[in-house]
Amino acid sequence: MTGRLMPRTATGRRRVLTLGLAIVLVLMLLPYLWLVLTSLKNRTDIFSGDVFSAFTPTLDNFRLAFIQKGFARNLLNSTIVATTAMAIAMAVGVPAGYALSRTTARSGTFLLFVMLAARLMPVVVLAVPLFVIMANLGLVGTYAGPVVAHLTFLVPFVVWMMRGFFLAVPKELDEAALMDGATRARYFFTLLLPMTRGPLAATAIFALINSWNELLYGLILTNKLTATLPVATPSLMTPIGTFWGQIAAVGVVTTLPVLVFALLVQRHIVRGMTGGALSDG
Amino acid sequence: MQRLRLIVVPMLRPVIVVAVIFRSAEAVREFDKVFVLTGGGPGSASEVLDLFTYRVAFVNWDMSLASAMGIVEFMAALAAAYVFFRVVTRGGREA
Repeated sequence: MTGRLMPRTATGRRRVLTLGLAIVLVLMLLPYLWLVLTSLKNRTDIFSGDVFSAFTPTLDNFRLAFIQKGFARNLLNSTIVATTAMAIAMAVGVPAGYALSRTTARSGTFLLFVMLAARLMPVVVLAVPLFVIMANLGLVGTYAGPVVAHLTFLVPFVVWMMRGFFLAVPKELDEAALMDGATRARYFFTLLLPMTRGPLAATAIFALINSWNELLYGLILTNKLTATLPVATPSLMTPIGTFWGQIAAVGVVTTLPVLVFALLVQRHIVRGMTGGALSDG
Repeated sequence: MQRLRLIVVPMLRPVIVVAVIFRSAEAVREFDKVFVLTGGGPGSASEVLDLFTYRVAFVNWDMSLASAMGIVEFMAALAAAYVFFRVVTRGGREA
């Protein structure tokens, strides 16, 4: 075979891999860099056609969007909704995940299956019933609306992710603690939770990000005052023109917390995604 | 290369299956990008399932038709979830 893709030596192979990964990385990061640059440009520079050439940076877009057009309010809304939904989902989902990692009962398996179905279901399926319920309860346009709606996908997510991590904790540890006279609750709170601190943080941040990025439920369950960032952003595409600079500014601010958090828990992310697959069900 | 093809990839099979199923489920659920980029247009060329349901429910306000569509979509999700569930529990016993 001539013209091998992979060189024969180990260092050569490593070099090819590094180069390939570098190319992919640049390709994936370029749009984001574009976004950041656009947010710092004035209107003329945005359409100059030369994306990466030098320009005079300005913070006008941030000022216009967040102070004049009230996106600061949307930022606050997003924060309130995401943190509340995350906190409730963790409070409910983590103990449930533990229970479901230890049970072998048929009902437990069935519950797990239901949780999984809820995760794979298109979000729009629940949008209609949720909207009707919220409208009848008068909760459209309040924070409670989107928070409850986000729980429908956050709780299954937390349960499945934490169950995977709890499965990795040997059952013998449970038994040892119970043997020494600890109640199950005491074992759970003083031993198990501190032990799974890393996974807990990863799950919490993931839940936060999921809620933060959610568009559809926010779209139907909020009004002008309670709209979250993803819901409010399209309002910058107006009939008299799209304010690309301001959209970019909002985009940068929206992605910033996600980026920071993702870097923080990067180590746990992959393990969390696949943890359930390798441990026995 | 052989090590990768014959040992690493087969061992990662359960993980890969999980990733594929989750990604396809998420691809079917795609809503945000289409909604923002094309709004389903031109015409209805890029109208994905989620967006179509959304339009039936919240643009045409035909809640009952949207509910019926939702039930069918839910059935499809159940079927996908069942396959996935079997893979996860069976893959576990082998590993």
